[in-house]
Amino acid sequence: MTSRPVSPLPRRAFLTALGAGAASIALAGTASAAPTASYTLLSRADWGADETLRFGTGGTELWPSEYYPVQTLTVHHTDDGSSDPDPAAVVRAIYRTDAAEYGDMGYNYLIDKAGLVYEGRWSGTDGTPAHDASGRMVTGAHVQGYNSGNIGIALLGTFTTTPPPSAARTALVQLLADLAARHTLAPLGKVVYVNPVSGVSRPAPIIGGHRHWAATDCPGTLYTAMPSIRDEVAALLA
Amino acid sequence: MRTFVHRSALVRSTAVLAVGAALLIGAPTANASAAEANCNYIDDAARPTVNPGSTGNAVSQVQCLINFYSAYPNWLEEDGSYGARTLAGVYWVQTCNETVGGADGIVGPSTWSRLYAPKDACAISAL
Repeated sequence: MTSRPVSPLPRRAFLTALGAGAASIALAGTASAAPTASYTLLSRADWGADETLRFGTGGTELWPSEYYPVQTLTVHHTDDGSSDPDPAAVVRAIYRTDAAEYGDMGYNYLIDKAGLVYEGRWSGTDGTPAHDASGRMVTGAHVQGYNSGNIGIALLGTFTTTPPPSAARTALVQLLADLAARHTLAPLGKVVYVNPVSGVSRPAPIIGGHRHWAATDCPGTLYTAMPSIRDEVAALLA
Repeated sequence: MRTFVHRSALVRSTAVLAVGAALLIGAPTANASAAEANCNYIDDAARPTVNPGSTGNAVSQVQCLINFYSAYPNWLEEDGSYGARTLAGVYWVQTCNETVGGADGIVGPSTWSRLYAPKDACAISAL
Protein backbone atom coordinates (compact mmCIF):
# COMPACT_ATOMS: atom_id res chain seq x y z
CA MET A 1 0.00 0.00 0.00
CA THR A 2 1.51 3.25 -1.04
CA SER A 3 0.25 6.64 -0.17
CA ARG A 4 1.92 9.76 -1.38
CA PRO A 5 0.61 13.15 -0.42
CA VAL A 6 0.31 15.04 -3.68
CA SER A 7 0.49 18.73 -2.84
CA PRO A 8 -2.90 19.27 -1.22
CA LEU A 9 -4.61 22.17 -2.87
CA PRO A 10 -5.07 25.11 -0.54
CA ARG A 11 -8.77 25.79 -0.54
CA ARG A 12 -8.34 29.38 0.50
CA ALA A 13 -6.48 30.24 -2.66
CA PHE A 14 -9.42 29.12 -4.76
CA LEU A 15 -11.89 30.88 -2.55
CA THR A 16 -9.95 34.07 -2.96
CA ALA A 17 -9.77 33.62 -6.68
CA LEU A 18 -13.48 33.01 -7.02
CA GLY A 19 -14.56 35.28 -4.25
CA ALA A 20 -17.96 33.67 -3.98
CA GLY A 21 -17.30 30.83 -1.61
CA ALA A 22 -17.26 28.07 -4.17
CA ALA A 23 -13.92 26.54 -4.87
CA SER A 24 -13.25 25.10 -8.29
CA ILE A 25 -10.68 22.39 -7.89
CA ALA A 26 -8.63 21.84 -10.99
CA LEU A 27 -6.73 18.60 -10.83
CA ALA A 28 -3.06 19.30 -10.71
CA GLY A 29 -1.41 18.44 -13.97
CA THR A 30 1.69 16.40 -13.30
CA ALA A 31 3.92 14.18 -15.33
CA SER A 32 2.19 11.06 -14.01
CA ALA A 33 -1.35 12.33 -14.18
CA ALA A 34 -2.65 15.22 -16.20
CA PRO A 35 -6.41 15.01 -16.00
CA THR A 36 -8.43 17.98 -17.08
CA ALA A 37 -11.47 17.40 -14.94
CA SER A 38 -12.51 19.75 -12.20
CA TYR A 39 -15.25 19.87 -9.62
CA THR A 40 -16.61 22.58 -7.41
CA LEU A 41 -16.14 22.19 -3.69
CA LEU A 42 -18.09 23.79 -0.87
CA SER A 43 -16.25 23.99 2.44
CA ARG A 44 -17.98 23.39 5.75
CA ALA A 45 -18.20 27.16 6.20
CA ASP A 46 -19.71 27.45 2.72
CA TRP A 47 -22.55 25.04 3.47
CA GLY A 48 -23.09 26.41 6.95
CA ALA A 49 -21.77 23.69 9.24
CA ASP A 50 -22.47 24.53 12.86
CA GLU A 51 -19.08 23.67 14.33
CA THR A 52 -20.47 23.70 17.87
CA LEU A 53 -22.20 20.39 17.11
CA ARG A 54 -18.82 18.67 17.28
CA PHE A 55 -18.42 19.60 20.95
CA GLY A 56 -20.07 18.48 24.16
CA THR A 57 -21.46 20.69 26.84
CA GLY A 58 -18.09 21.01 28.57
CA GLY A 59 -16.43 22.11 25.35
CA THR A 60 -14.96 18.67 24.81
CA GLU A 61 -14.57 17.52 21.24
CA LEU A 62 -16.99 14.60 20.89
CA TRP A 63 -14.86 12.56 18.52
CA PRO A 64 -11.23 13.76 18.29
CA SER A 65 -9.87 13.53 14.76
CA GLU A 66 -7.59 10.69 13.72
CA TYR A 67 -5.58 10.67 10.51
CA TYR A 68 -4.25 7.75 8.47
CA PRO A 69 -2.93 7.14 4.95
CA VAL A 70 -5.63 6.58 2.34
CA GLN A 71 -6.08 2.99 1.15
CA THR A 72 -9.54 2.90 -0.42
CA LEU A 73 -12.36 5.12 -1.73
CA THR A 74 -15.91 4.04 -0.92
CA VAL A 75 -19.13 5.34 -2.50
CA HIS A 76 -22.50 5.66 -0.75
CA HIS A 77 -25.92 7.09 -1.34
CA THR A 78 -27.31 9.02 1.62
CA ASP A 79 -30.78 7.45 1.43
CA ASP A 80 -31.83 10.15 3.90
CA GLY A 81 -35.38 10.50 2.67
CA SER A 82 -35.25 14.26 2.55
CA SER A 83 -37.40 16.16 0.06
CA ASP A 84 -35.84 19.52 0.88
CA PRO A 85 -35.00 21.24 -2.43
CA ASP A 86 -31.97 22.95 -0.89
CA PRO A 87 -29.08 20.44 -0.94
CA ALA A 88 -27.05 22.46 1.57
CA ALA A 89 -29.95 22.14 3.99
CA VAL A 90 -29.95 18.38 3.43
CA VAL A 91 -26.22 18.26 4.12
CA ARG A 92 -26.74 20.25 7.32
CA ALA A 93 -29.50 17.87 8.39
CA ILE A 94 -27.34 14.81 7.79
CA TYR A 95 -24.55 16.52 9.71
CA ARG A 96 -26.86 17.13 12.68
CA THR A 97 -27.97 13.51 12.72
CA ASP A 98 -24.46 12.13 12.30
CA ALA A 99 -22.95 14.50 14.87
CA ALA A 100 -25.29 13.13 17.51
CA GLU A 101 -24.06 9.61 16.78
CA TYR A 102 -20.52 9.95 15.44
CA GLY A 103 -19.46 13.36 16.72
CA ASP A 104 -19.44 14.80 13.19
CA MET A 105 -20.47 14.06 9.61
CA GLY A 106 -19.83 10.38 8.90
CA TYR A 107 -18.83 10.96 5.25
CA ASN A 108 -15.66 12.65 4.07
CA TYR A 109 -17.39 14.17 1.03
CA LEU A 110 -20.95 14.53 -0.25
CA ILE A 111 -22.17 15.30 -3.77
CA ASP A 112 -25.51 16.88 -4.67
CA LYS A 113 -27.66 16.38 -7.76
CA ALA A 114 -26.05 19.34 -9.51
CA GLY A 115 -22.59 17.88 -8.96
CA LEU A 116 -21.49 20.26 -6.23
CA VAL A 117 -19.08 18.59 -3.80
CA TYR A 118 -19.44 19.27 -0.08
CA GLU A 119 -16.65 18.94 2.44
CA GLY A 120 -17.71 16.32 4.97
CA ARG A 121 -16.06 15.47 8.24
CA TRP A 122 -13.92 18.20 9.78
CA SER A 123 -10.21 17.65 9.17
CA GLY A 124 -8.20 20.36 10.81
CA THR A 125 -7.45 23.97 10.07
CA ASP A 126 -5.05 23.59 7.16
CA GLY A 127 -7.78 24.18 4.59
CA THR A 128 -7.53 20.79 2.88
CA PRO A 129 -10.88 18.99 2.87
CA ALA A 130 -10.88 15.49 4.35
CA HIS A 131 -7.10 15.54 4.87
CA ASP A 132 -4.50 16.93 7.21
CA ALA A 133 -1.58 19.01 5.95
CA SER A 134 0.54 15.91 5.34
CA GLY A 135 -2.09 14.28 3.12
CA ARG A 136 -3.46 11.74 5.56
CA MET A 137 -7.24 11.42 5.66
CA VAL A 138 -9.44 12.00 8.65
CA THR A 139 -11.21 8.87 9.85
CA GLY A 140 -14.94 9.11 9.18
CA ALA A 141 -17.87 6.88 10.08
CA HIS A 142 -19.38 5.27 7.00
CA VAL A 143 -18.44 1.57 6.90
CA GLN A 144 -18.53 -0.21 10.23
CA GLY A 145 -15.11 -1.60 11.10
CA TYR A 146 -13.44 -0.20 8.00
CA ASN A 147 -13.30 3.57 8.39
CA SER A 148 -9.65 4.34 9.01
CA GLY A 149 -7.87 4.87 5.70
CA ASN A 150 -11.16 4.53 3.81
CA ILE A 151 -12.57 7.73 2.31
CA GLY A 152 -16.38 7.88 2.26
CA ILE A 153 -18.12 9.75 -0.56
CA ALA A 154 -21.92 9.98 -0.52
CA LEU A 155 -24.27 11.07 -3.27
CA LEU A 156 -27.31 12.86 -1.90
CA GLY A 157 -30.41 10.82 -2.59
CA THR A 158 -31.70 7.28 -2.87
CA PHE A 159 -30.58 5.39 -5.96
CA THR A 160 -31.78 1.90 -5.13
CA THR A 161 -33.56 1.53 -8.47
CA THR A 162 -32.54 4.62 -10.42
CA PRO A 163 -29.20 5.97 -11.61
CA PRO A 164 -27.90 9.16 -10.02
CA PRO A 165 -28.21 12.45 -11.93
CA SER A 166 -25.50 12.66 -14.58
CA ALA A 167 -24.00 15.81 -13.02
CA ALA A 168 -23.62 13.98 -9.72
CA ARG A 169 -22.02 10.98 -11.37
CA THR A 170 -19.65 13.20 -13.35
CA ALA A 171 -18.54 14.99 -10.18
CA LEU A 172 -18.09 11.64 -8.45
CA VAL A 173 -15.76 10.45 -11.19
CA GLN A 174 -13.83 13.72 -11.03
CA LEU A 175 -13.49 13.56 -7.25
CA LEU A 176 -12.42 9.92 -7.38
CA ALA A 177 -9.83 10.80 -10.03
CA ASP A 178 -8.51 13.67 -7.93
CA LEU A 179 -8.16 11.41 -4.89
CA ALA A 180 -6.67 8.52 -6.87
CA ALA A 181 -4.06 10.86 -8.33
CA ARG A 182 -3.22 12.44 -4.99
CA HIS A 183 -2.82 9.09 -3.28
CA THR A 184 -1.36 7.14 -6.18
CA LEU A 185 -4.23 4.66 -6.23
CA ALA A 186 -4.92 2.36 -9.19
CA PRO A 187 -8.56 2.97 -10.20
CA LEU A 188 -9.19 -0.64 -11.29
CA GLY A 189 -7.12 -2.14 -8.53
CA LYS A 190 -7.55 -4.13 -5.38
CA VAL A 191 -5.71 -3.80 -2.12
CA VAL A 192 -5.37 -5.83 1.02
CA TYR A 193 -6.95 -3.20 3.24
CA VAL A 194 -5.56 -3.18 6.75
CA ASN A 195 -7.41 -1.28 9.46
CA PRO A 196 -4.54 0.55 11.16
CA VAL A 197 -6.45 0.66 14.46
CA SER A 198 -7.95 -2.83 14.77
CA GLY A 199 -5.49 -4.71 12.59
CA VAL A 200 -8.36 -6.36 10.71
CA SER A 201 -7.52 -6.92 7.05
CA ARG A 202 -9.34 -8.05 3.91
CA PRO A 203 -9.05 -7.70 0.16
CA ALA A 204 -11.11 -4.83 -1.20
CA PRO A 205 -11.56 -2.84 -4.37
CA ILE A 206 -9.56 0.40 -4.25
CA ILE A 207 -12.67 2.13 -5.63
CA GLY A 208 -15.82 0.43 -4.41
CA GLY A 209 -19.23 0.87 -2.88
CA HIS A 210 -20.52 0.34 0.65
CA ARG A 211 -21.86 -3.02 -0.52
CA HIS A 212 -18.34 -4.22 -1.31
CA TRP A 213 -17.67 -4.05 2.43
CA ALA A 214 -20.96 -5.03 4.05
CA ALA A 215 -24.37 -6.55 3.43
CA THR A 216 -26.30 -3.45 2.37
CA ASP A 217 -28.22 -2.00 -0.60
CA CYS A 218 -26.00 1.08 -0.47
CA PRO A 219 -25.02 2.63 -2.88
CA GLY A 220 -27.89 1.25 -4.95
CA THR A 221 -27.35 1.23 -8.72
CA LEU A 222 -23.91 2.75 -8.22
CA TYR A 223 -22.79 -0.71 -7.10
CA THR A 224 -23.31 -2.33 -10.48
CA ALA A 225 -22.05 0.83 -12.17
CA MET A 226 -18.73 0.56 -10.37
CA PRO A 227 -16.75 -1.09 -13.20
CA SER A 228 -17.68 1.70 -15.61
CA ILE A 229 -17.03 4.34 -12.97
CA ARG A 230 -13.56 2.89 -12.41
CA ASP A 231 -12.94 2.93 -16.17
CA GLU A 232 -13.96 6.58 -16.35
CA VAL A 233 -11.65 7.44 -13.47
CA ALA A 234 -8.81 5.60 -15.19
CA ALA A 235 -9.54 7.44 -18.43
CA LEU A 236 -9.29 10.80 -16.64
CA LEU A 237 -5.91 9.81 -15.25
CA ALA A 238 -4.54 8.33 -18.46
CA MET B 1 -22.91 -22.93 5.51
CA ARG B 2 -20.76 -25.35 3.59
CA THR B 3 -19.22 -28.21 5.54
CA PHE B 4 -16.80 -29.66 3.01
CA VAL B 5 -13.14 -29.04 3.56
CA HIS B 6 -10.17 -29.18 1.26
CA ARG B 7 -6.46 -28.70 1.42
CA SER B 8 -6.31 -25.07 0.37
CA ALA B 9 -6.28 -22.11 2.66
CA LEU B 10 -4.03 -23.99 5.04
CA VAL B 11 -2.60 -21.00 6.79
CA ARG B 12 -4.59 -17.96 5.72
CA SER B 13 -4.77 -16.60 9.22
CA THR B 14 -5.44 -17.75 12.72
CA ALA B 15 -8.95 -16.36 12.42
CA VAL B 16 -9.65 -18.45 9.35
CA LEU B 17 -8.14 -21.47 11.03
CA ALA B 18 -10.46 -21.00 13.97
CA VAL B 19 -13.44 -20.89 11.63
CA GLY B 20 -12.10 -23.91 9.77
CA ALA B 21 -11.74 -25.83 13.00
CA ALA B 22 -15.36 -25.15 13.81
CA LEU B 23 -16.39 -26.35 10.39
CA LEU B 24 -14.51 -29.58 10.83
CA ILE B 25 -17.19 -30.84 13.18
CA GLY B 26 -19.27 -33.27 11.20
CA ALA B 27 -17.24 -32.65 8.06
CA PRO B 28 -15.59 -35.32 5.92
CA THR B 29 -12.32 -36.32 7.52
CA ALA B 30 -10.48 -37.75 4.54
CA ASN B 31 -8.99 -34.32 3.93
CA ALA B 32 -8.42 -32.74 7.31
CA SER B 33 -7.68 -29.12 6.64
CA ALA B 34 -9.27 -25.73 7.07
CA ALA B 35 -12.18 -24.79 4.87
CA GLU B 36 -11.99 -21.85 2.55
CA ALA B 37 -14.15 -19.33 4.33
CA ASN B 38 -14.49 -16.30 2.09
CA CYS B 39 -16.12 -17.52 -1.11
CA ASN B 40 -19.39 -19.39 -0.70
CA TYR B 41 -21.16 -19.12 -4.05
CA ILE B 42 -20.74 -22.87 -4.60
CA ASP B 43 -19.35 -25.74 -2.60
CA ASP B 44 -15.57 -25.89 -2.58
CA ALA B 45 -15.77 -29.48 -3.81
CA ALA B 46 -17.94 -28.55 -6.79
CA ARG B 47 -15.61 -27.62 -9.60
CA PRO B 48 -17.59 -27.49 -12.83
CA THR B 49 -15.79 -26.45 -15.98
CA VAL B 50 -16.31 -22.73 -16.48
CA ASN B 51 -15.80 -21.03 -19.83
CA PRO B 52 -15.75 -17.48 -21.15
CA GLY B 53 -19.39 -16.50 -21.55
CA SER B 54 -20.51 -18.73 -18.69
CA THR B 55 -22.88 -17.29 -16.11
CA GLY B 56 -23.93 -18.29 -12.62
CA ASN B 57 -22.62 -19.06 -9.19
CA ALA B 58 -19.58 -21.00 -10.38
CA VAL B 59 -18.43 -17.87 -12.19
CA SER B 60 -19.01 -15.80 -9.05
CA GLN B 61 -16.92 -18.35 -7.16
CA VAL B 62 -14.06 -17.94 -9.66
CA GLN B 63 -14.27 -14.16 -9.37
CA CYS B 64 -14.35 -14.31 -5.58
CA LEU B 65 -11.42 -16.71 -5.35
CA ILE B 66 -9.30 -14.46 -7.56
CA ASN B 67 -10.23 -11.47 -5.41
CA PHE B 68 -9.42 -13.16 -2.13
CA TYR B 69 -6.50 -15.44 -2.92
CA SER B 70 -4.66 -14.32 -6.05
CA ALA B 71 -2.22 -11.47 -6.50
CA TYR B 72 -4.09 -10.43 -9.65
CA PRO B 73 -3.97 -6.66 -9.20
CA ASN B 74 -7.49 -5.72 -10.36
CA TRP B 75 -10.74 -6.17 -8.48
CA LEU B 76 -13.35 -8.40 -10.15
CA GLU B 77 -17.04 -7.83 -9.54
CA GLU B 78 -18.59 -11.05 -8.26
CA ASP B 79 -21.48 -10.80 -10.69
CA GLY B 80 -21.51 -14.33 -12.10
CA SER B 81 -20.86 -13.11 -15.62
CA TYR B 82 -17.69 -14.39 -17.31
CA GLY B 83 -16.74 -11.46 -19.52
CA ALA B 84 -13.54 -9.76 -20.61
CA ARG B 85 -12.53 -8.57 -17.14
CA THR B 86 -12.89 -12.05 -15.67
CA LEU B 87 -11.07 -13.54 -18.64
CA ALA B 88 -8.10 -11.26 -17.97
CA GLY B 89 -8.05 -12.47 -14.37
CA VAL B 90 -8.27 -16.15 -15.33
CA TYR B 91 -5.51 -15.71 -17.91
CA TRP B 92 -3.36 -14.14 -15.21
CA VAL B 93 -3.99 -16.99 -12.77
CA GLN B 94 -3.30 -19.62 -15.42
CA THR B 95 -0.12 -17.92 -16.59
CA CYS B 96 1.28 -17.24 -13.14
CA ASN B 97 0.53 -20.74 -11.84
CA GLU B 98 1.47 -22.52 -15.07
CA THR B 99 -1.74 -24.51 -15.04
CA VAL B 100 -2.27 -27.55 -17.24
CA GLY B 101 -3.34 -26.51 -20.72
CA GLY B 102 -1.88 -23.01 -20.42
CA ALA B 103 -3.74 -19.73 -20.45
CA ASP B 104 -6.88 -20.74 -22.30
CA GLY B 105 -9.53 -19.09 -20.12
CA ILE B 106 -11.16 -22.45 -19.41
CA VAL B 107 -11.44 -23.13 -15.69
CA GLY B 108 -10.89 -26.88 -15.34
CA PRO B 109 -9.43 -29.01 -12.55
CA SER B 110 -5.92 -27.56 -12.70
CA THR B 111 -7.12 -23.97 -12.66
CA TRP B 112 -9.70 -24.63 -9.92
CA SER B 113 -6.92 -26.10 -7.81
CA ARG B 114 -4.79 -22.99 -8.20
CA LEU B 115 -7.74 -20.68 -7.56
CA TYR B 116 -8.02 -22.25 -4.11
CA ALA B 117 -4.30 -22.74 -3.57
CA PRO B 118 -2.16 -20.44 -5.72
CA LYS B 119 1.57 -20.81 -5.91
CA ASP B 120 3.23 -18.53 -3.37
CA ALA B 121 4.38 -16.10 -6.05
CA CYS B 122 0.80 -15.84 -7.35
CA ALA B 123 -0.93 -15.60 -3.97
CA ILE B 124 -2.48 -12.39 -2.67
CA SER B 125 0.25 -12.16 -0.06
CA ALA B 126 2.52 -11.32 -2.99
CA LEU B 127 0.30 -8.39 -4.06
